Amino acid sequence: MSRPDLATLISGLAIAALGTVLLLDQAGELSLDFGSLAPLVLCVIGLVLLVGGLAKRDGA
Amino acid sequence: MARAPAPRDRGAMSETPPPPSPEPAGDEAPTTQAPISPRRLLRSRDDRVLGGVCGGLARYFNVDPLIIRIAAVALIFLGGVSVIAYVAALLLVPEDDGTGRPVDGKPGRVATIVGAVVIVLAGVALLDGRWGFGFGWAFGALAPTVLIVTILAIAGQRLLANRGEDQPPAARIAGAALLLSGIVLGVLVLAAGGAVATAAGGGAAIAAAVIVLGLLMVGLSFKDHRARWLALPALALAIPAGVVTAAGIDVDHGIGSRHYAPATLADVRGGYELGVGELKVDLRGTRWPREATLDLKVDVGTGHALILVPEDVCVQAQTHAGLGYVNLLGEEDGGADVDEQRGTVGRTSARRLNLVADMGIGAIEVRHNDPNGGHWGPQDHGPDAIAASLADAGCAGERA
Repeated sequence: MSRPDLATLISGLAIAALGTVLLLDQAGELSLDFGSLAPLVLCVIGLVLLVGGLAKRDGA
Repeated sequence: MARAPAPRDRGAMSETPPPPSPEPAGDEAPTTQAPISPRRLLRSRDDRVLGGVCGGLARYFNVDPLIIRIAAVALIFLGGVSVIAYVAALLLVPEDDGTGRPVDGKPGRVATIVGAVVIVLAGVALLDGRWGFGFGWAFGALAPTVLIVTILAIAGQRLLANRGEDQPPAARIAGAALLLSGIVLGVLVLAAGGAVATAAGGGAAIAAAVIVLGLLMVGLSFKDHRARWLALPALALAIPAGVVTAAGIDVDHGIGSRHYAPATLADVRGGYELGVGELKVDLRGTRWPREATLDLKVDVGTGHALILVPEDVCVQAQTHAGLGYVNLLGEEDGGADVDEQRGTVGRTSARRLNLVADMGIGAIEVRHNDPNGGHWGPQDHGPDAIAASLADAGCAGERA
């Protein structure tokens, strides 16, 4: 099995986690407000940019 | 292969000491010593996030580039002056060729003219304070359009440069700019679609689509690293959907402007709801017996909720605004997740309003007079004036 592209893998996991939070809110299991949404979204965007930048630096 | 000329073949300069400026050695070395050129502002080639402007400035002033970048971002919020300056620098400041000299080529005249035009248009737009939209549709639309087209053209040129095309023809730049425009438009359409679908009750489907895109990226990460670009549509869907969810916007409650002026307390509904728009509940003409208490609920997704009350009514309010501000009889609080629970408790004989209001994105206002009715002004509707009138009505004193 070939090695995964870490940037894509981590970004995908972060986005799937974000989608899960949104789904849990829709199901009524969570109550999302701006105070919790803003850090969550910033974390996901930051993670995507970070792993993308690291992958570019490593020549991936 | 041609042999490089020996140093003695280069003329008298080979015998003189090298000039102080970092002139590269070559066959066309000057025969007289060049004057020391002043330090030039160049866009950095090796320290860049977008166009190397901040990196070049940092090198010019010998400071940390991070400081310049933080200042540039901060200035965006002061009228966007750094955006204009950045675009101007992209067009006017030459790029470093890696040795401290400007790159060869002549982007000069056209870039200078375009840069000057952009600066003038953007300056006029900024001076107007409303990004040029105050000068009528034609000119108002022109300034931002020119700015956007210019930014897209620069971005297109950068895209081609990253692919190894250092001097692309105008048609190639236009094509790249068009491609970028399509991508931006697609992202905007996705974002708007995600927001509207979530507001219309399809939030679960949008969330599921985001999860699927994320898992698709995970699966494709073993095959194709280009799958990382799926992050763009996924975030374009997820972020607006999250904002709509956090704000509690529901378009099923309607869109538009609603104005209610109940004649008696019996005519007042148990609750007033609106998805997007302005909701005005005017209680100033409502027949309201003394000592009567009115319970009122207001729920607006996005927009403006205005509750107008008589001056002799004591108001107790419990309000929430996801993003925006709450103004309760002149006392204002704003930001994200604004929760207010305040008001005044009056004498037993006073008329009272118990308000429960919820706003997703926008403003909740409780006023004595309508700001659009021509009678409102900051002087006569300030907290002090309201406190005085409430005191006359027996409302001042205890805080809820």
